[in-house]
This record gives sequence, structure tokens and C-alpha cells, in this order.
Amino acid sequence: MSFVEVEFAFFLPVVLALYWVMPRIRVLQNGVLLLAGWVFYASWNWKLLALLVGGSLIDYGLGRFLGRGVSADDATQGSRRRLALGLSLCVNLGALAYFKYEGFFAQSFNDLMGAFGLSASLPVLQIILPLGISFYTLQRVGYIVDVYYRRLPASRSLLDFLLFTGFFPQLTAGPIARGAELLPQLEKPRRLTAMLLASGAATVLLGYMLKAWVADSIGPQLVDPVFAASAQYTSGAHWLALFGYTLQIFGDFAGYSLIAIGIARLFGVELPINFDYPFLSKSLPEFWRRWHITLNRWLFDYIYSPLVSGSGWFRGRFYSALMLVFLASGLWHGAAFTFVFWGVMHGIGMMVHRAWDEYYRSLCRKDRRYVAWRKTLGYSLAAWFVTQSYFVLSLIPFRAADFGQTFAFAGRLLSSGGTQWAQVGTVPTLNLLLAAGFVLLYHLVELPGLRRLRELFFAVPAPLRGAAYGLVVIYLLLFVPVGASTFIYRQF
Amino acid sequence: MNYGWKQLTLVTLSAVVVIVIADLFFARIVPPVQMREVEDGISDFARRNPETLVLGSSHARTLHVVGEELQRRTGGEHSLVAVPMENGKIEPYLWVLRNRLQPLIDERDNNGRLLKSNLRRFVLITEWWDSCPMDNNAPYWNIPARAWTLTDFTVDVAGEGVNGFNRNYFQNRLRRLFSGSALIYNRTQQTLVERTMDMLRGRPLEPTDEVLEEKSLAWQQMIEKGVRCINSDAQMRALADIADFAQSRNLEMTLLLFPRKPSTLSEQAKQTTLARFARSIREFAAPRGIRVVDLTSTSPLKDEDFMEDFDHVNAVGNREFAIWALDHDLAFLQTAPASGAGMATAVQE
Repeated sequence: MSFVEVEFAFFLPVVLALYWVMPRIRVLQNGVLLLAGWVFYASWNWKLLALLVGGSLIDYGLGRFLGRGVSADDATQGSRRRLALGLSLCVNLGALAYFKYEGFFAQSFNDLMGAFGLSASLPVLQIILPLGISFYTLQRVGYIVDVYYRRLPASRSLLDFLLFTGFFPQLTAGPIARGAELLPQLEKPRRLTAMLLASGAATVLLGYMLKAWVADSIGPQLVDPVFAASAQYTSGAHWLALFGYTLQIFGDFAGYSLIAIGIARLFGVELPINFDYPFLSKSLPEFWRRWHITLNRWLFDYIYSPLVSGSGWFRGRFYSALMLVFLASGLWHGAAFTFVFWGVMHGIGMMVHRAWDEYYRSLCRKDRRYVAWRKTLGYSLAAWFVTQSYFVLSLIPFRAADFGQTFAFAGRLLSSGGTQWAQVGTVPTLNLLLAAGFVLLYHLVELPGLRRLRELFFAVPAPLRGAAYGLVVIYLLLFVPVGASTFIYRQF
Repeated sequence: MNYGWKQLTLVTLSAVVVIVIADLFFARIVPPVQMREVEDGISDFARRNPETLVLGSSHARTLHVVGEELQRRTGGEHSLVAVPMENGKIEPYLWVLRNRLQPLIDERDNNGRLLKSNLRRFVLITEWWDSCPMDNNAPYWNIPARAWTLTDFTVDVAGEGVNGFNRNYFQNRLRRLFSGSALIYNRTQQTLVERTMDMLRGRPLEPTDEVLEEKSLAWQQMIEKGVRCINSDAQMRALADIADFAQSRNLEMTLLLFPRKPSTLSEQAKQTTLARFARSIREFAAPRGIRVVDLTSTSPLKDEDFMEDFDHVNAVGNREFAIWALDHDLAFLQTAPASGAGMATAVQE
């Protein structure tokens, strides 16, 4: 089941009604949400629900153990705690490795041996990738590590913890919440307010526009045909497809995240934001603080920070740690060398930025004019252009099926023997322009000078605002493609 | 943003008002035409005790009109119920027959008497496309999820999870739920925007000659290509199972090859796809004693008797066809079936 598919239009109202009709008792509310989460997951594959529940039960038990008070025998307890942490990491990351990476690693190993003239035949299993495993695994690992380091008390209630790992709005594609963000909310009963409903519904609508209208309109019309038969298309069509894919992937995931946040809000639960107007970023670090925020902060919280501040080889080795983080990010996105390449690209990008930043700071120390230059519009525009261009170009290996397609596509951006251009009629072209314009507007109203526009909209009398929402719904009913929806991040 | 209940109510109400007004506006441009669906056919069959049961793709809707004409002519002495399975193929017809119609066909009252005691005939409406394999690469639009009950849906989801195939159950329920709404009911028809744009541009709503010619050509090519996929094993096996079922219930069976719009039939298509399909149907039917009525290119229906989709007969065409068919190839529907045919005799045996 996906948020933008028809069955969800039947599922959500039933769960919402049941949830708010219940007496305002935490156990009942959480019970409804947990049941809904399991039904939601089982509607994809009920057999693999056992994996989700089983893993959660193990982490609950280990979390309770890790959360116990400090005893007199500190050394023994310390080693047991490390053992419990190791067990949890093995179970969680082992399941992820098995389901997501077994085929990739086995195939890569066989190929590597073959390259050296050795015969290896590790079995390459065709396993179903459990829905959402990349997301719920990180959430559970984050919880266990936080409890281990006593940054978070262990959840006492099994119901709350199962809901923490099975809350359906974020179950399949995040946002990846920290225990400290979600658990305290689940430990209290929620109250229905008009503000909650209004804000939740508006967020869902905004997310639906980005996902079902922007992403699902642009992808099949501008992107897929060019990536499928690249040689037939002109260079212009390649650029259009690449920009189209940039908008598509943003609409797809930012939209889906907003729907998740909006739905959670309808139940009185606040999820962390996942996208913060990333196309306004003027540096790569800023970009990754604005794009898929919950994944990146997880990578920095649980990989980067422990590495550079720990006592191991990585201590103080910021560049190596950055590369490792983005390699992990690449692999997280997919078990393929194109994703690894994408990770390396961003690892290098982050390292170059860090080196530039250090160099520029040294210049600033010598000459204060450099400080002023950094604040000029020209510097900002150049930084913005370089950052966004780098991100857009990095999407070629991200979208391509293999390296052959990656390099062929990249080459055809400069010169292509193809003669075809995107075949789109007049009305769909206008619709696509509007969709692209919507993403632009979405970012522009976040700029300091234009934020007032948003405030102005909410100051408009309620009937006019309602009419505007009505018009948006009508437009979506007319232009959201039927049956075209795929969710790119679901496969990660 | 700061909302109270009053504000929220006002915003919601005004949004709903705007949507309803727009819906009414669009309903004037493209009225949501209530199509007879498989559920309508099944519920008609459940209520009535007809002499003839017709099953087929969306083309079976035309037979509903034939049924009305039959009723008018014979004063109810001879009757038929048509069950149209949108976008059907032979395997889904078998599914509908076994899972939805068979329980009704075999239903008995408290005294053990068959409720469908009048049932004597079974007509399967088909054409070349129905015999091509199911497309496994794409979620199959409507079949057989369109004919499912909630139990069928639940069983399928338990086995397969929600997918593009069984999602059609919900898609169909949603459309039926909002069957009066142009914005929802007509969404999949892709005509709302085109018609509205036409109206705004002041152009006539009728398609131009070039568009018609292009469409005809596309249809011709599709039918010509059909020669590669017709008579697939799975579909022909399903046909044999349907025939066996009819035989087991002692029903006189007819295979009706439905008329096609004349301009969609090229000479090449007639000589290859259509000829081969008709021949295989005849070869299938002859040893089983099944009647074959091939109206693919021999009915009096003209291009203008078909809808804009080039596939279905329009209201005027349906009336003309009903009158003509009952005077000609389907005249047998007005006569008593061969002696011995029928559910009652099947039971006696």
C-alpha cells in the first residue's frame, strides 16, 4: 500500500475515524495505530511482517537490558552491555545486509575472482527486499545506540516501542525519527485539535502535489523515454531529462515525506522534517543538511561523529570520515556500483568543499576583504550554481542502470547524434511547466524577502482560502496521471 | 497558520462547494455515463431466471440492449441477462463463470429445486483480442478484480500483497462510489481536459478527419499485429473449460464473434488475424456442437454506430444492432432451445 494509491483513500479514513472515536487513552490510541501499521505492512507482504515485528521485539528486549541502572560490577556490566549492543547491530545490520546486499556482494565477489582468473560461485540469491527495511533498521539502530550511550531512556512499554518501529506514516520510507523525537510523543495520549487537522491536511495536500503531480507527471514524460533510448535523443533532450529527473526525485521523495508528516500530524504525532528547500543550498554541506535530512543526520550522528571524535584511526581524519559517510549513503541508496560511484562523487565534493572552506578562511584571516566578498550576491550566486550543478550531474549515475548508461548519457549531454526531442503535446507541456514552476515557487517563498507571500495567503478570509484549496484539488483531479505512480525511494 | 474549528469548517465547506460546482460544470461537458458493469450483470442474473446467459467483454453491453428488444418482442417469454466483463479475456470470463455465476446457476431453493430453472442457453461474446495472453509486464487494468467480492480481494492480497492487479478492486469500487461525479468517474477516460480545452478554444467537439484517420490506422495496425498473439494456450484452455462447464449444465452454447468498426479492419487484418481466429473458433466449436456466430465484419453496423473509442457500439448502434440481430443471426434467441437443453434436464440426468 502506498499513500498515493487508491486503497489508501479507503484505509486512512477508517483508521482516522477509529483512532479519534476511541477514548483518549494512550494504550487504545497506540493500539489502533500499531494495528493499522501492521495491516499497512501486511498489505504489502504479511510474511515479512514477522521480520519487522521479530526485529522490534529483539531490540525492545535489548533496549530494556541496556537501559538498566548502573550496578556495582561496572566492568562486567560494561562488557555485557557491549555484547547486547553488538547483538542488536548484528541482528539489524545482518538482516539489512542479507536482504539488501547479499546478491550485490556475492556477485561482486564472483566477478572479482573471475577477473583474477579464479573461479568463485557464491550463490546470488533472489530475495525480496522487505519494504522499508533501510528505514526502520536505521531507526532501530539509532534507538539502541542512544540507549547504550544513555542519551535516551529505554522504552518501558512494549506497545509504545512496537509503535515506534511500526508507525505506518513513516514505516516504509521515513522520515527516520530519533527515539527522543517520537517515543515521548507516543507515551502520552493525543488530543484532536482543529489546528492539527488543518495543518496535517494542508501538508498532505502539498506533499501530494509534489509526489503525484510534479514527480509522476515529469518522470514518465521527460525522463524515462530519454534514459530508455538515450541514443535517439538530442543533447537538449538529455539536459531536459536530467533537470526533469532532479525535479522528479525531489517531488517524489520530498512529496512522500510531506504526506507522511501530514498523515502523522492528523494522528497528533509530529515527525521530523526531511527536506528543507534543498535547491536554495549554496554549498554541499548545506545541501545535505536540507536534503533527506533524517538520513544524513543519522549518518553524521552514528557514523561520522563517533569516528572523528572516537579513539580509533579515524580520530580527527575528517576527510576520510566524510568519504566513508557518503560511501555508506551511496550503498544505502542501492546495492549497485552506480550508487557507490554517486557516494564517492559526493564524498569528494564534501572533501573539496572542506578544503576550499579552510583555504578561504585562511584568506579571510589575512585579508578582511575576503569576508566581505563571501557575503556578496555574486559569491552567493556562484556558490549556488556550483552546488546545484554538482548535485544535478551526480544524478546521472543515480538514475542510470549501469556505468555504460552513465557515461553514454553524460557524453550525450555535450554531443548527441540523436534527433528526437521530448514528445509532449501542448496541454501536457503547459502542465509540466506549471509543475516545474510549482517547485520553483515552493522554494522561492522560503526566501526571506518572499516569505510574506505565505503569510498573506493565510491572512486571506477562510472562504477564499478554501476556494483556493478546492481549485487545487480540481486541478489535481484533472492532471494527476492515473496509475502512473511509482515511488523511487521505496526501492531503497 | 492558526486555525479554530470554525475556520476549518469554513475552509472545508468552501473547498467542497468549489469542487462540487466544478464537478457539475465538467459533468455538462463530459457527462459521466453509467456503464453497465459486471456487478450489474451478476446482480441482474441473481434476481432473474433468464433463458439465456450472456458473458463477454464490455461488448456484452450491446447484448443487454438485445435482451431488452427480446423482452419487448416476446413479452418476456424469452429473456437474457448479459454480464459484461470490462477489458476481459477468456481466463477472466472463466473466473467470473466459476466464482460468481456458477453459485447462482447451481443455487437451489429449500425443496432442492434449481432457482435458474429456465436457463437453457449460454452465449460467450468474444473476439481475437480475448485469446491473446494476459500481459504480465503491466498491472492488468481491471480483470478479474472488477468482478471480485471483498473476500476475493482479501484472499488475493493475503497471497500477493496489494499490487497493480488487485488494486483495481478498489479503483473500481471508488469509481462506482462516485459514479455521479465527472471529475472522479471520468478521470480514467482522459477526455475531460481535452473536451474542456476544445470548448475553451471554441473548436467543435467532434474529432477532425485526420484524427479519425490516425485512430483507424492505429486500430488496423493493432489488429494486424494480433496475429502474433491469438489463440494462446492459456486462453484456449479457458475456453475449453467454459465449454465443458456449459456442457456439464446441459446449456446450449453459442460463441459470438462481436462486430468491429468497419474502418478498423484492413484487408490484411481480415485475412490474417481475424480469419485465423475465426477458423480456430470454428474448429474448436464444431466437435463440441457449439454454435458460432461470426459478426466481425458482417453486421450492418457502420462507422458512425461506434463510440469515439472505436471499439464499443453507441446507443443508436446498439438499438439498430438489436433489431437486426434478432431478425438474423441471433433470431434463435426467440425460439425454444433444442429439446433436452437446460439446467433442469442436466439435473435429471
